[in-house]
Parts: sequence; structure tokens; C-alpha cells
Amino acid sequence: MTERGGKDSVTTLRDLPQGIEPGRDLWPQIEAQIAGRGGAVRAVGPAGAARRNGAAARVYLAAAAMVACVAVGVWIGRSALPGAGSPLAQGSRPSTVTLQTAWVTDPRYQREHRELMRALGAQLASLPPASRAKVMASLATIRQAKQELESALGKDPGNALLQELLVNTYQDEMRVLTDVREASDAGRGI
Amino acid sequence: MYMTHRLLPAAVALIASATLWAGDSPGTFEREVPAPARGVVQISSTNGTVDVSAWDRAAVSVKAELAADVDRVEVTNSGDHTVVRVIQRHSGMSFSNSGHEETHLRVQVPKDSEVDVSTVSANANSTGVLGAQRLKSVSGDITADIGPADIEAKSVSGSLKLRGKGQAAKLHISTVSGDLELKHAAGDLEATTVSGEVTAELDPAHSVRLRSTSGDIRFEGRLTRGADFDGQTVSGDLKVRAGFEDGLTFEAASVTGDISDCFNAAAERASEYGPGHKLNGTRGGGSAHVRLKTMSGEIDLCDRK
Repeated sequence: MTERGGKDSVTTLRDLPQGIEPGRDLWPQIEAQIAGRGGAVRAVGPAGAARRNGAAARVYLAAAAMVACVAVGVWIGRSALPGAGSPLAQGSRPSTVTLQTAWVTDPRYQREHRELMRALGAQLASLPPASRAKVMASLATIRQAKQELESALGKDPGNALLQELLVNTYQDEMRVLTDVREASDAGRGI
Repeated sequence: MYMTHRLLPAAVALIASATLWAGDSPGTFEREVPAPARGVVQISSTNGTVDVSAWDRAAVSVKAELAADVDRVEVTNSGDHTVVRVIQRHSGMSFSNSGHEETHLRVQVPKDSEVDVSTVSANANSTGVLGAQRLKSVSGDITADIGPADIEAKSVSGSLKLRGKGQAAKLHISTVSGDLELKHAAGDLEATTVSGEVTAELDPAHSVRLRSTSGDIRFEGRLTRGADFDGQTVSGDLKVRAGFEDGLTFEAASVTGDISDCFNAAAERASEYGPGHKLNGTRGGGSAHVRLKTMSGEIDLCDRK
């Protein structure tokens, strides 16, 4: 490095000064320039406003596009790839979960479930008392499991493990209701 | 004359039947009918006990001590089907036991028969049958020997105890609140319960699917090359001790329960922000696949029996 102003040559960064103070106070000039530019903008009129609005519209469009991208990503994550981000991302067989979820909301399932629930009282009454008590306890267990799973899914809607457990619990409830219906037929057993 | 010829066989059968009934001591029943070696024997009784055993003869033997509420025992034989039914006096009206002595039914069947037993509160026991078995009960307990053929066992609140001798078979079992105990079994198992406890021992096991809502599941056995094991509960614990022929690949996941193992692998968080833990990995060749899932139960996995 060449020598400047008669000072010793600089060989390392440590040789440089930690700070260089300006020879005068620069702020009054900066403040004046800012004030002058603001006034200029205010003096631009409708044409400048239109340019500003156009810029704002571009910002809004960009934001909307970003929101749309996120929404599509969430949709893909929750429907096409239910395992994504869940405890069983690799082993939960996403297509099965998707199909089963659809099955739970199937009107035929809901109709069958309603009919089984409507007939449940009479069917339980025909069971031996000890068996009836155990079946009622098991149905209460299923109901509680459904509530807990639904509550957990409310906090973590994309959790494939919870979705799968909930669907299977619905299936178990149907199995119990069907078994009770068959068991209530004294002539045939279950 | 024509009518006489037509009615004569029926009249003879009726008289023979009445004679056989009259020949039984009061409150007992005994009958033996020919049956094919590989036929189907269907047995149903409401309460008391049902004992089914196998023998080498091509016949079905029925012996019973009857409770006061039993109307009759029917034994019918048609083609390869033999049907044994204990008919209650007030069939279909009530399950209540009015304090009378219970009915004890003993049926011997050809050892290769298919057996179908259905009871309400009667306990059923099946020994030595080599054909397929379908065993169903509402509140009665079921015990059975596992042969080489498939077993389908189903109960509402009755417990199920099945014992094998290491012969591979396909087992389909379901209960609502009844416990399941499976010993010295092998092959394929599918078991479902709501609140029952499942204890299963399969060696070797090829395909295992166990599911429970609140009941605990405990499995012990050995997984064959390429075996598939699926265990799932909502709040029940899952304890699996599975040896293997050619390694295993495992995936364990829990939302709020703990995951532990015997090979010092540490479970990790399922995601950075959400709840849950997972434990994934491979032991040995990784040939068998083990998947364990629960919401709030505890998972304990060990790759040794």
C-alpha cells in the first residue's frame, strides 16, 4: 500500500482507525434535502398519486398471489398429502386416510349410523345385564376417544395420525353397534 | 293309499324321534348322527356351557344336561351340515337366567370338521378341531385350541383364550370389552377391541394387525422375513417385543404418549411446532415392517423376544 499524507503504511486491518469523524455537522444539510424532496412529492399532484396507486396495486396483487400460493400449499398438504408434517409422514398411507375421511362424511354412513343409534336402546335392553353394562361402558369409551381426537385435531388439523385414529374409531363404533344389533337377536346369537 | 305311502316315512321318523326323546333320562339328552369327515357342524346354545371336542369317527355325538328353561335340543343332519340347537322355552324373549340349573352341552365332531359355535351367555370350549372354526358369543367366555385352519372368534363382553401349537393359521378376532389371550400361535392375526386387553404371542408371525381404543396391547413373538406388523390404539399402551428373521424397519408415533425402546434409540419430536413424538429406524436387514401408532398411550418397542 502506498503512503498517504506522511502516515505510516497500513499492513493489516488493525492498522486502520476505528472511526473517522466528519469535519463538520452533516445533519442540517441532510434534513434540508429531505424536507425539499417531500415538498416536491406533495407538489406532483394527481399523476403522482396514480403512480403511487399503481405501485400499491402491484403490492396487493403480489400479496394476493402469495396468499393464494400458501392456500394451495395448505390444501395440497391437507388433502393430497395428509402425511406431510405429521408424526407418520412416511408410514401412514395417505391415500387410505383420504379415502377413509371421505367415507366418514358419506351420507350412507351417516344414515346407517343414525339408524343403528336409534335402535340401540331396545337392543341394549335385550342383552344380559352384565353384558349391557360393559357395552355401554365401551360405547362411552369410544365417545370419549372421539371427543379427544376431535379436540386434538382442532389444534392440529393436518395431523394424519389423528385423522387415521379418528376414522378408525368411527369404524370401531360402527362395528360395536352392528355387533350389538346382531347380539340382541336371541335366536341367532351374534 | 298314495297318501299313506307318502306320510309313512314321516310318521316313522316322528315316532323314532319321540322314542329317542323318551329314552333320555329327565333333564338329559343324548344323540349320535352320522356326519361326513369334513362336514360343517353348527352349534348354538344360550346359556350354560358348550364343550366341543374332536374325534376320529364320522359321526356327531351330542350329550346334554338340560336346564329347566330348555324346551328341546334339535339335532338335524342335511348333506354335509349337522346342526345342533338348544331351544329355550321362551326363545327370543329374555336372556335372564331364572335360577334354574345351567345347560351343559357336549358335542363330539369329526376332527376335520368345520365348526360354528354361537352362544349368548354360555361359555364355549373347543378342543382338537382341525377344520376352520367360527366362535361367537355375547357375554360367554370362549376358549379354543388353534388348529391349522382359520379361526374367526367374536365376542361382545366375553373373554377369548386361544391356544396353539405353533402351527400357522389365520386368526380374525374381535371383542367389544372382552379380553383376548393368544398363546403359542403362529401365522396371521387380526384383532380388534374397544376396551379389552390384548395379549398375543405368535412365533413366527407373518401379518399382524392389532387395534384397540382404550385397551392395552401386548405382543410377543418373532417376525418372519417381510412380515408386516401394525399396532394402533387411542389411549391404550402398546408393548411389542418382536424378534426377527431378517431385521425390521420400525415407525412409532405418538401424539402425547411416551415412546421407549430397548436399543437406545431416542424418540424425536414429530414436528418443530406441533405435538407428538416419533421413533423411526431400521434394525438388521430391515425386512419386517413394524408400525405403532397411538394418541395418548405409551409405546414400548423391543427387537428381542
